[in-house]
Amino acid sequence: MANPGSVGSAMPPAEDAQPRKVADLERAVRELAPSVARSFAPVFEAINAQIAQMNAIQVEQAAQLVSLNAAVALQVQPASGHSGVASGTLTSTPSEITRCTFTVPAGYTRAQVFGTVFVSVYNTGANADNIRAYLDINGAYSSTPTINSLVSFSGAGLGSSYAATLTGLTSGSTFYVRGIVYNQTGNANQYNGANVDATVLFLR
Amino acid sequence: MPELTWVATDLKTGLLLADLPDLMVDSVKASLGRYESASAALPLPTAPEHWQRATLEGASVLNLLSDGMPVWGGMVTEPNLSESDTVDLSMATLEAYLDRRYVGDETFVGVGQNVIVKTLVEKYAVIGENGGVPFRVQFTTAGNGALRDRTYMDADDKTLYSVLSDLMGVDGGPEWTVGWEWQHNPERITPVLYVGDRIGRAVPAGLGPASTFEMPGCVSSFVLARSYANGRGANSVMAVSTASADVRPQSPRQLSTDTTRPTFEYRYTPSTSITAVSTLTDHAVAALAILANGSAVIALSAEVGSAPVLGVDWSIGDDIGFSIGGLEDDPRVRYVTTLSGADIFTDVFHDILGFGTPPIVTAVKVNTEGRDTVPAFPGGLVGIARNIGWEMTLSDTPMVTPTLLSATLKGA
Repeated sequence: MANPGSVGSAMPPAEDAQPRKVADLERAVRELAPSVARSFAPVFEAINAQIAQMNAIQVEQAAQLVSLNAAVALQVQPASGHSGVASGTLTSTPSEITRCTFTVPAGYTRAQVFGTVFVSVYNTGANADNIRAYLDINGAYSSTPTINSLVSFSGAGLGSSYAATLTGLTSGSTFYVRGIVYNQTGNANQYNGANVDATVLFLR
Repeated sequence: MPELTWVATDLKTGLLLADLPDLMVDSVKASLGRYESASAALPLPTAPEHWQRATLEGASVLNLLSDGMPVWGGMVTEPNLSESDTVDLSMATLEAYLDRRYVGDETFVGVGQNVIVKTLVEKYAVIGENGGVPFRVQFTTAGNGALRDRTYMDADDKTLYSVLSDLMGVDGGPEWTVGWEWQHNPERITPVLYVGDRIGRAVPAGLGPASTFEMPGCVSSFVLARSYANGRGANSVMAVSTASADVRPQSPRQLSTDTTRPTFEYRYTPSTSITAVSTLTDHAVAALAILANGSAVIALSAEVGSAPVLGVDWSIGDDIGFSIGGLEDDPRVRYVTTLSGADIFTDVFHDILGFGTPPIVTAVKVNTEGRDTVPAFPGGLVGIARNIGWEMTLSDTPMVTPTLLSATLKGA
């Protein structure tokens, strides 16, 4: 490298000025190469750090994607229930004939519930009767039960459905879907039967 | 006149290989802190028996002796053999060897600059995988020198020559040069690397220089070479380093107080990988001291037989006196004769009759101011300046030419 501060550099150019200049330039180039290479080291370090950071973000994003997919998949969890009863006894006041019970899965707070109750009844009496039924979803039900005539000594069927959205549910808690049936006289017969079916969509 | 002779020595040991009484060398040079080259021719008919070993490239040194004292040495770099009966030889002074050795990983913190040089030379020149060159390091000034922080890495690819030049280029940096010495048992001539705050003797206050080159006198010719070309003159100097990422250390501009010239800027990189701005500033300050008034050196050529003796009366780095030109009487028209108090009548009466007032004859000096012997320097140039290098031509009439740095002129 040039060193004009050195007194020897003040010597006037002689016959060997050009070879000396070439030697000086070669030396300078040789020393510049590693110096320049090293000067890029912080740049490469920064780039490598950024690449590592980007790789980490990529891994994190992949994990987040899995998590998101899982979360999306868990947005809705379906469930269904069935409960049947034979040889049922009817009463003259609204009484439960059968029920399905659902447990709230972890992470869900709401449930969209649709259910039906279907009742088959045989009138063993000499007088005509009627039968009424409705579906009770955890205390929510229609105020107008379905009704059907029941001719003496003959059978009849009756169905009722209801839908409700339950909110404020907590993980592990339960709710029910039950059929409520009654007639005027109330009776018991081996041919009496009822089925409660319900589908539930748990929501978060 | 001192007797000048040549011998060949072994580069690794300094042992004498051969006398070379018929070696023909046009000239040899030496400079402070840098290598010089020279060429020679060895006539084969009178060459010594082992001339091939004595001139083996990279293995031998040709030493010039002045009255038996080694004053110069150059390692043989290239012998050229041809159909002729001489061998042409190229030589380089031992500073060039330092450019063939690389410095490894070294860290110096608060270490005297002379010690740094000594350590580096002893670790990276004196020894090596195949041996080294037996430099002895001699401090020329008391103490270890200014404390410096320096870090060198093998990966920098810096030669020892480069590192030492870098050190010498800072303000107050260590000066260095290579000399020679005889050693005995066995007889050998080995290099000495002199290092110190200064190489050579300064003139003591109130005293004159030990040596003076004069014209008229021993000096037969001289050249005062001035230059303000790019790189040889500047009044605004900045030293910069190589960049590290987007940061490039650089010194503040160092400005001279000279207002004669417009701004001439000079930027340079004294060495790669300098991170301390203070180090760059030291470089810039040192450079400005030399460049501010432009490069100007005086080379005074004198016959060896009549000049102060190199190695005895003066050496490289010494302050040397010089006296060029001045006024002298004109030998052609020194006086004219004038007559006063006379006229033709009194002249006649006096000459013929022997009475009356004689005329007054007066010799009047015409050139009362004298004549400039060197018109380039009206009134002459006298002073003291520092010798930064010398050349010796080895013709039938050997001449020695010390080069004086005009920036160090005193009393001119």
